[in-house]
Amino acid sequence: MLQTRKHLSLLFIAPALLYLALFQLYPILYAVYISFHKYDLMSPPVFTGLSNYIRLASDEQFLRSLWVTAFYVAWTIVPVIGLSFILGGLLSTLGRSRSVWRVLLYLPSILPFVSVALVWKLMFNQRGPINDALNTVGVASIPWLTNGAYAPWALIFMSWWHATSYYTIIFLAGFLTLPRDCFEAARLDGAKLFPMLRYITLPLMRPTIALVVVLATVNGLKAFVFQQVLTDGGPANATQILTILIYKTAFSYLDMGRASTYSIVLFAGILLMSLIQIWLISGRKDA
Amino acid sequence: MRSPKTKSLLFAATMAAIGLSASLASAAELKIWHHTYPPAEDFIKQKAAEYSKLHPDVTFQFQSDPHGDYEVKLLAAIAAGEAPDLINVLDYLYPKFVSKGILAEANLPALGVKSLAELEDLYSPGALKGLIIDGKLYGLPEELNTFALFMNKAHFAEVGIDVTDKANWPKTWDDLFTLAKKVQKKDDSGNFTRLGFNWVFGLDGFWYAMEYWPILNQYGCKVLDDAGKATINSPQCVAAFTDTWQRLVKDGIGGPDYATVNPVNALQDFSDGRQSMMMAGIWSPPLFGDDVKKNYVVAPIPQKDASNPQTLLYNYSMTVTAASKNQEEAWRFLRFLTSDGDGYLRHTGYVTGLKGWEKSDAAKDTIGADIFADQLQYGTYYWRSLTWNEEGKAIKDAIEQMMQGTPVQEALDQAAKQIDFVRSQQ
Repeated sequence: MLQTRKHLSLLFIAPALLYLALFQLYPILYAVYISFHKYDLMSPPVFTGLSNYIRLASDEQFLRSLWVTAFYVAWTIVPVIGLSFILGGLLSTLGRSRSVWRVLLYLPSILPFVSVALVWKLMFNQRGPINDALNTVGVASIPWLTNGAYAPWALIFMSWWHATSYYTIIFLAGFLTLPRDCFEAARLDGAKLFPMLRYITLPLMRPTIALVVVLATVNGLKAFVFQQVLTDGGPANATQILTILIYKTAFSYLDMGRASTYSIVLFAGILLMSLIQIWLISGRKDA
Repeated sequence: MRSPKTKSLLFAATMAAIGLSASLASAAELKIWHHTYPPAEDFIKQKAAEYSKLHPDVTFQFQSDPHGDYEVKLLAAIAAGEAPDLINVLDYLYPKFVSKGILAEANLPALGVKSLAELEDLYSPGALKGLIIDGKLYGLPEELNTFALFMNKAHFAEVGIDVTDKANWPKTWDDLFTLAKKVQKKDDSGNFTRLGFNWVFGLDGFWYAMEYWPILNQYGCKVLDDAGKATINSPQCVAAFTDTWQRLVKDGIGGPDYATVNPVNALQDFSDGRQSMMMAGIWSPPLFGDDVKKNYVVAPIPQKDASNPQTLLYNYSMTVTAASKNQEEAWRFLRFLTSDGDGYLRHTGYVTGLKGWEKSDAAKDTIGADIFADQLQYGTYYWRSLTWNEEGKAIKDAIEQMMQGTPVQEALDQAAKQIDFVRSQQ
């Protein structure tokens, strides 16, 4: 009987397993395989051993992209998590108007990425509305997308607007599940806002924070569309994050071996950072 | 026993089936991929319709994408085994494409000639040169081109300069920047309302190369030496970029902050009358706004040494893929398409390079055709390399760094380092 149930359950999960094997596992394993080869899509792969990995240390484009990616992710996730946490908390205190605010805040997440990027490209234009607004308060126009000092910040500001909307909803869901009796008891004991936040809210929100930190990091590392549409990695590679470099190396330079090596490094980075974050934020508590 | 009526019906049905299968066997659908340029798209579609009328068994499918995206999609399609039959390829990509077996060697009988020499004789000298690898031809010119200087007559008339008079054309780069300063306009806050001149920005490496290549040649700058080592940071190259690209920003004449970036029309600012001078090809006027169309003259590009003029030569060709199942038909169509040099020039502004094009009726009606014909003879094709895209990108990055204030030598040193690194991995 138990054996039959086991077989039946395997049958039920088979479609999902098949999907994961075909569309997740196989591409990852194939990328690992190709990273040990020289492959231009047109002719058969030629085995080159570890040469693609060895050259990473002297590959300035890669090292620069690694730095650009780290800068972008760090400056994106920290403010976004803070903002989303505050907004989620504020939303949870609202009454009937909460659903309206929730819809409004979530709107940026459901808009097509390319359309959003094109609109922001117009807004960041030298003669665009953002510079017009700066001019009216006496600030000179800023070359947002054409100067390497400003372009990374333009993309970071845009990501705050876009990502905050998504993570606010996750934090809101977390806040709504918090047990009210803890807060009521703390209030009766005369607890103030910050001690309540420090000793009640944050510990209870730890699983949600862990989820958002991991999601924000992974999504930040996988970002592509905004950089591609707004700057195409420029000017002078100032916004060339790893995904843009992978895309160019694969499809403009036809060097699939090198592109796969970059991808494996990115994949390993995402995996490692996710594991560390999960361990730091939730795992360590149990230890 | 079947009746005679049934027999004849069966016979007719059999014959119809045979006829249908025969026509299906000879039917060919040619897929054409081209970079986005609306006048050319319209013209090719028109010629394809004419060809289908003459050959009802041949049909066409057309697709276009903006230059840059186009090459990426094309290579992805070829790699996926979905190669179109006819493609639009820039000459500098020929070494790479031929080495990868992407292009089919020209079918000379289908092109109506017995030998390559016979075909070359139909074209202006050097027109096919960029499309020949190891003595074999792989494509036909659709757009044999050089760059010239376009000047807005009305803008210059406003400041009292008559640019219909050749004496007022800029002869040197110094002349060009001096003229740019005279014709540019600013509002009370000091913001440009009209640029005198600007380079292109925010586009791919090939676009940048179209503008710097003739200048590099004028200054004796080579991207690579004979041994294939990068020399883009040589004193000649540093001087070339200092006197032209860097000077534009240093003198406050233009720069990336002022350029409108439009992947479909890279010359948007001149086309819309927001810029008074630009460097471009003979193909550009169909993109101009109505006011500009009536108000421009064409002059040769400035030179460093007038006694040794150097210009650009490039060929945006049409060719047949090795994966095409209808190669012979595709070459026949190419012959049909490109032999209408007059139609091409009139409708698209493209010079197909057929001998005597400059004396055609279309050339007589084209402003500056004589200048372009003259400038073509001083043209040089880009450097040849299997990693051209990465090398072109390295130089583009160097230019973008210069525009932000990085010293020219430092920016070019980085480009040279990157080029050597890329080439060492081959």
